[in-house]
Amino acid sequence: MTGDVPAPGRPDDAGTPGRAQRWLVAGALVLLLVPGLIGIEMWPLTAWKLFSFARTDRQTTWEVEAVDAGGRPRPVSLDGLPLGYQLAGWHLAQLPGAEYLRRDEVCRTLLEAVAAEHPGVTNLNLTRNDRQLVPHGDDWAVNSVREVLHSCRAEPA
Amino acid sequence: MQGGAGVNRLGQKLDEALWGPETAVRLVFVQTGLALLIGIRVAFGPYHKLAGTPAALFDPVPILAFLGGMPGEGVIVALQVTGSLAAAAAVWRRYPRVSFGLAWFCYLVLAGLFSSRGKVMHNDLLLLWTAVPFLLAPVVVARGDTEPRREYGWPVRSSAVIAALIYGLAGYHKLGRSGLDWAFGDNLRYVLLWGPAYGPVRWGEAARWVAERWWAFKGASAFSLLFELTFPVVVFWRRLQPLYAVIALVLHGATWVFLGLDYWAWAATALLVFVDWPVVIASLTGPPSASAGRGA
Repeated sequence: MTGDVPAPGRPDDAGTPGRAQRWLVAGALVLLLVPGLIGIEMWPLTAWKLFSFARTDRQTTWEVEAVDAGGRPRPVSLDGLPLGYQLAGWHLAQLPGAEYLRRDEVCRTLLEAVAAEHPGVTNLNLTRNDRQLVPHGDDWAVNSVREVLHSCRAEPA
Repeated sequence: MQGGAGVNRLGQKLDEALWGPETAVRLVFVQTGLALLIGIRVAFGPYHKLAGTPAALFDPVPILAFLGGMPGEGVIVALQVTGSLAAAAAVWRRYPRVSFGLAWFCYLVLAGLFSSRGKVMHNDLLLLWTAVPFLLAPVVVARGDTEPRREYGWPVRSSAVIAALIYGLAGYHKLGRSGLDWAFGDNLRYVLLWGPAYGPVRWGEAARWVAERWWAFKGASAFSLLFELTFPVVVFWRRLQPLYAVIALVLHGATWVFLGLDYWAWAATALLVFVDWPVVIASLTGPPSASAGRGA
């Protein structure tokens, strides 16, 4: 079951990798293991924390609500926006600790994209959604508590 | 004395794991396969659609921190075309070191741009990392030479070590951040029930079926964690490599079906690096080659 160990003098002892090759592999292993073990995120150096947090029945998501002229808010799926906007939820999660100008910059950026997809939108809400999965008969339901973090209004044409 | 002998044995095993012999045909097969995978990712990835990313949502990864914003579509398409042509040249072994290196570099930049939207993306990283040793792989390869040699083996072997460590690190952080609760708690149940938050679920009924049976979700999560944590053992017990590659294929397939997460590049990379395809093909199509019967 162990790896094949060639006897000394066998032909496969010849042609061992040179210094550059050994340095390349050693460097790659150091760059892989140090961030990986310590937990540094400097893409492509990463900690490989894929799905490492155990999930529970509670989940916080950051969402966008489009508000029409009648004042009715409705959730907007970021997946329906162009590719450059689809991970905006991760930016929204950083906004509670950000300054007003940063919040407004993100809000207006998203409003522009949402208004292009959904004409008639007058305002945009950036919301925090604390959700909980609860049994509901034979099914599951999601209880949501939404809190608006920031709102911005479309500039009149 | 015994301790010294143990250290020597470990050193010898590590030496074999990283620099051990493989056949020329396996070296060419793996490098060609990696070039093909890189070419597919570069050519067909949705990178050109990143061009409209607004400045407020552009968060460059450290290696692209010099960029003031997302490059325009022309630049991204030029990278895709260049990377695709370079990958094609590497597949046909035209200037293999230069073409493979250029394809890898274009892929690194494109995947970096894809990850410059506020979230660390891992989808391309296994392929990028396992390709690193091949940047300096031998250029002149006698494909008719059926004798396993170290000069042909080290890129394949060290690439396998890198891939095994990546899986091991993924398990290490699950254990470190969540403990055994990741495997034996209700974690996977809620991952599956929350599923739609992660992507378009392919088979929601199956996800729900697993989520509502404790033995299924706990068994699956315990198996998954055990798989990742023990993956590095294939560095020394190479006969296990094809088995782990097949399990990786199943697990990545399951995350696609149940969660909508597309990790096909990981599954393909694992199959490519951990299975000795020339031996498999030879055993299916004709008399075994000289390297048949060796550990995979």
